[in-house]
Amino acid sequence: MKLVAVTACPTGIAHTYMAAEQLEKTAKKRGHTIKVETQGSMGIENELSQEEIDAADVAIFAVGIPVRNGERFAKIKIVEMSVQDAIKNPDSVFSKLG
Amino acid sequence: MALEFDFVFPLKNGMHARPASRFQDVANAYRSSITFVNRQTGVSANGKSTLSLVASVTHEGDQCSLIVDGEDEGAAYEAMRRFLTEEFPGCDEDLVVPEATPGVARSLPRALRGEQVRLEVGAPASKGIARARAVVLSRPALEQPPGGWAKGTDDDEIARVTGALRDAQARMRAQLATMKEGIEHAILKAHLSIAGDPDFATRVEGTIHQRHCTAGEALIETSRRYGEILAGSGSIYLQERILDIQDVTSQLITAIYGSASADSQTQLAEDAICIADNLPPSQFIALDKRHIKGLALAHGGATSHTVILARSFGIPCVTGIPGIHRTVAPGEDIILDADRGFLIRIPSPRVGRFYAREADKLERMKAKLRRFADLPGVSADGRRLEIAANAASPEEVGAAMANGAEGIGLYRTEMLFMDRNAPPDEEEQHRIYAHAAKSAGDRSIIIRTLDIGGDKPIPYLNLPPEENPFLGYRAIRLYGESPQLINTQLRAILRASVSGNLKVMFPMVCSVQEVLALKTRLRELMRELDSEGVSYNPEIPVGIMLEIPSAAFVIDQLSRELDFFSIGSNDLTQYFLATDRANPKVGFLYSPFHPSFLRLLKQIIDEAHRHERWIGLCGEMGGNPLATPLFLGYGIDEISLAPSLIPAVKEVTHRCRVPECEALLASVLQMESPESVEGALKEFSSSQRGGALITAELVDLSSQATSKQEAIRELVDLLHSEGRVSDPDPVEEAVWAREETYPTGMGFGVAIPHCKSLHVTVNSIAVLKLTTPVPWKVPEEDPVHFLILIAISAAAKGDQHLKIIAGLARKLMHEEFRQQLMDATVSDTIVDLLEQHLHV
Repeated sequence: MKLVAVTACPTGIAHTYMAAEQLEKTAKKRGHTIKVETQGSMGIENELSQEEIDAADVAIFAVGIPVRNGERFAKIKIVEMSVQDAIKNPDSVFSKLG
Repeated sequence: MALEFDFVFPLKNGMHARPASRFQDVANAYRSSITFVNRQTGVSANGKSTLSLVASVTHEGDQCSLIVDGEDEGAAYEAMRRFLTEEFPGCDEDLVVPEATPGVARSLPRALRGEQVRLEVGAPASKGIARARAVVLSRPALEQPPGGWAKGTDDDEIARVTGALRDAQARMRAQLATMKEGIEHAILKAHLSIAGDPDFATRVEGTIHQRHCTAGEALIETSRRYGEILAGSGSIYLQERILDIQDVTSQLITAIYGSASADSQTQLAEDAICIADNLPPSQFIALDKRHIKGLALAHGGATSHTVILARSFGIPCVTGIPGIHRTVAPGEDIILDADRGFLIRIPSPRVGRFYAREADKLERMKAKLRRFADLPGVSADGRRLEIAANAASPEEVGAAMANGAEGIGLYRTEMLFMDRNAPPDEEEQHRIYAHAAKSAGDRSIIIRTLDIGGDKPIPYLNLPPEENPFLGYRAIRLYGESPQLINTQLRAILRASVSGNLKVMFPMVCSVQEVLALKTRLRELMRELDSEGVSYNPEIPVGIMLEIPSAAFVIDQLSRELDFFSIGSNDLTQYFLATDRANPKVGFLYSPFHPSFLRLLKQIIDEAHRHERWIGLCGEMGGNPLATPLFLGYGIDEISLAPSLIPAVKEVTHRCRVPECEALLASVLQMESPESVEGALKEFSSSQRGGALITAELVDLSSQATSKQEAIRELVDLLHSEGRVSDPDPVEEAVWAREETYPTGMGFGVAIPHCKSLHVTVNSIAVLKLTTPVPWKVPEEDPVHFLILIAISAAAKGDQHLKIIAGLARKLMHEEFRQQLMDATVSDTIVDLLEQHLHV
C-alpha cells in the first residue's frame, strides 16, 4: 500500500519523532511505502504535498493535537490514533488499515 | 489614701518585655508608687520596673489590680487608667523582624524540595558548604573564673555594680542615638531597660547584703533567679527574654572584670560551625581557623570586616539569619550552605546525602583547579599577567601564598585600627607589617595606608557623621589634621620595608599636589629615621590607588612622581557612574562591564604604559573569571583578587590567547550596554571551553540515585563538575520546568530530560545509568533506569537541541541502538555511539 502519515504531540519535542520513526519502520517491515510528516517543535518537516496525499491509499494521523493544514486530507481515508498507540502498538495500527 | 483600679489582663502573649517597658515608661512620669498586683497568683510587682512586671508572670485573662499611692496619686491614677484601657491592649505586637536582605538568599535546591527541612535563611557572604556541630559564641557562660573574683567590702561590691550599670546605660543610650529603628534598636532598648531597671539593681544589691558575695556572683545569682521565674511562665516568648537578661549580665561582668572570662569560649576543640549574633573581627581572629568550618551570624553585612576575613580564609559564611544565636542549640548537627545562603538544622539522611555529594563535587572541582594555583599567571601564548591577592592580615598573606598568589596587590590596614579605643602604636604596626612582608617571601606586598572615614566607627578619631562619607572626609584627606596617625603608620611601614618587598600605596588621590605633599611627608619621616639610625628601604616604591576619576586624566603628571598605579575598580566604578552600589534603587546601574567604564580602563592602562609605569587592578572585577580575557587584552600588569579565586582565574589565563582577547576587548568597547558586554564575555568563555557535546566524563554508568530528583540532580552535577554549567540550581529548575509540562520518559526505561538555560555555558549531553530503576511519572508507569540529559545554552542560536532530541527520539525506536546503549560497560562506548548516530 501507499501510505502517508502525520505525527504531532502536544509538546512536539520527542514523541512526534518517535511515532514517525516507528511508523516508517513498521511500514517498511510490512512492505508498504510511507511518507511521514512531522508537526513538532521545529515546525512542519517532511511536508506532504497535495499530490503525494492524493496518490496515497490511506492517511494515518498519530496525533494528540489537531493536524495543521488538515484540509489537504479532505478526499482521503484517514485512520486516526494516539501518538502513544503508534509508538507502542504499531502492528495493531497497521492491521486496521485493512 | 491609695487609689485602686481593677482590670482583666488583656494581652495574648502575657506580660512580656515590650508592654512592660511601656507600662514602666508611663508609671515613671509620676512620683507616686505604682504597684501592679496579679490577683490570680498573688504576686505584686513594682510598676516602675520592667523586670518586676515581667516577673509577675501574668497571662491573658488574669484578674489584676493597680495600686497608686503618693503625693500625685490623683494624676497618676488617671493617667494609668487611661493607659491601661486605651493604649495597653495594643502593646502586644512582637519585636519587628528585619526583612531578609532582598534577593540574595536562594531557595532550597529542587532535589531537596518536599523534604522536611529546618531551614534558617540569611544572606550568603562567603561561599562554601560545611557540616559540623554548632558552637554558639554569643552565649558566654555565666560563671566565675576558676580562681574566683577578688572580693571587697559589701559597699565596694555595690559600688562596682552601680558603676557598671551606670556606664552600661550611658553606652546603650549613646548607641541608640545613632541607630535606626529596627530589631537591633528594639533589642538594645530592651537591654537598656534591664540595665536601668530598679528591680534588677535592688535584687543585686540585696544579694550582696545577704550573702556578702562579689558583684559578679550577685549578678549571676540575680540573672539566675529571673531565669527561674520566666522559665516557669509557660510562655516561649518570656522564656526567650531570659537570654536578654543573661546578655546584659554578661556585659556587666565583662565591664567589671574584663573579658578574660569570655575568652575561654573561643578555644575550639573540634570542627565547628560557629554561630553568633555578630562577631567582632578581633574575636574571629582569635578563633582557631583549623576548626572553624563555617560561620553563621544574625547580624553583619556582606562588607563587615569579619565577613571579609571569613572570605579571605575561605570559610563559608552566612549573615543576617534573624536570631540564629538564640535558635540553634550548642552541639546541634548543622549544615551551612553559604553558596545558597542558609543553614539547615539537624538534617535528614536525604539532605545529608545531597550535601555529602555536593561537598564531594565541589572538592573535586577545586582539586581540578588546584593544579593551576602554582603555575605562573600567563596566557596560552605566553603573555604575563601577574595574579596577586588582596589581604588584611599576615595570616591571610600566608594563606594567599599557599593558594598561588604571586604577590599581594592590596594589603588593607584599616582593620588594625578598628574595634579598639586607641590607634595601634608604631611598634605594633611595625611588627604586623614586617610579619606580613616575611610571610610573602620575595613576592611583593602593596601596603595601602589608612583608608578610613565617616562610614566606619572609629571612636578615638571623633569623625563627624557625614551626609555622604564616600565623597567626604576620608583616607588621605584625614592625614592633614591627624598627622600623628599617618606618620606613625608610615614610619612603621618604612621600618618594615627591610623585612621584605614592600611598596606603599595611598588611597583616594585626586591630584598631583596631593602626591607631592605625601612624598614630602615620606621624605621627612625618612630623615627622622636617618637621624635615629633606623634602617629602611630608601627606594621603597610609591604608588596610588587609582579610584577617583580625576586622577585618570593626569596620569602623565602622576607618573612623574610615582612608581606604580593600582586601579581600585569598586570605587572607581561607583564614582565614575555616580552610582552607590549599596543603594537598591540604583544598584542596577553599577557594573564594571559598562562600556564607558571599560573605555576608561583602556585609557588609564594605555596612558600608564605610555609613561612606562607598572599598573595593576584590585577590586572585585579582578576576581571575575569572565573579565580575565579583557585584562589580557588590555595588557595590564597585574590583577589582585580574593585568594580563593586565584586558581579559577589562573585557569582562564592559561586557556586564553592574546590576539583573541584583544579582538574581544575591541568588540566589547563598541557595545552599548553592560548586558551585551556580559553576554559577549560569556559567549567567549563558552567558545574557549568549546569542544564536544559529550565526553566520557559526562557519563556515569553506576549511579546509586534512588529517585527522579536525585537522578536529575546527578546529571546536572556531571555538567557542573566539568564546568559546562555556571550554576547548577537554575539548570536543575529548568529541567524540572520541562518535566512538569510533560514528563520526558520515552518508554523502554529511558528518559531524555532536557533544557535550554542561560546558565549552560557549553551545549552538552550527559548520561546516567541507574543501578535501580526509579519511577518517572505519576501514576507510576515504566520506571526509568537510563537517562540522557540534553542541556543547551540559551545563548545558542537556532534549534540545535531540538534536532538532537528529535534524532535521539527516532534512534531510540530501534531496539538494536537501545540495546547497545544499555549494554555499554564503559563510558567511551556511550560517547562513540551517540557521536556516531546523532552526528553531534
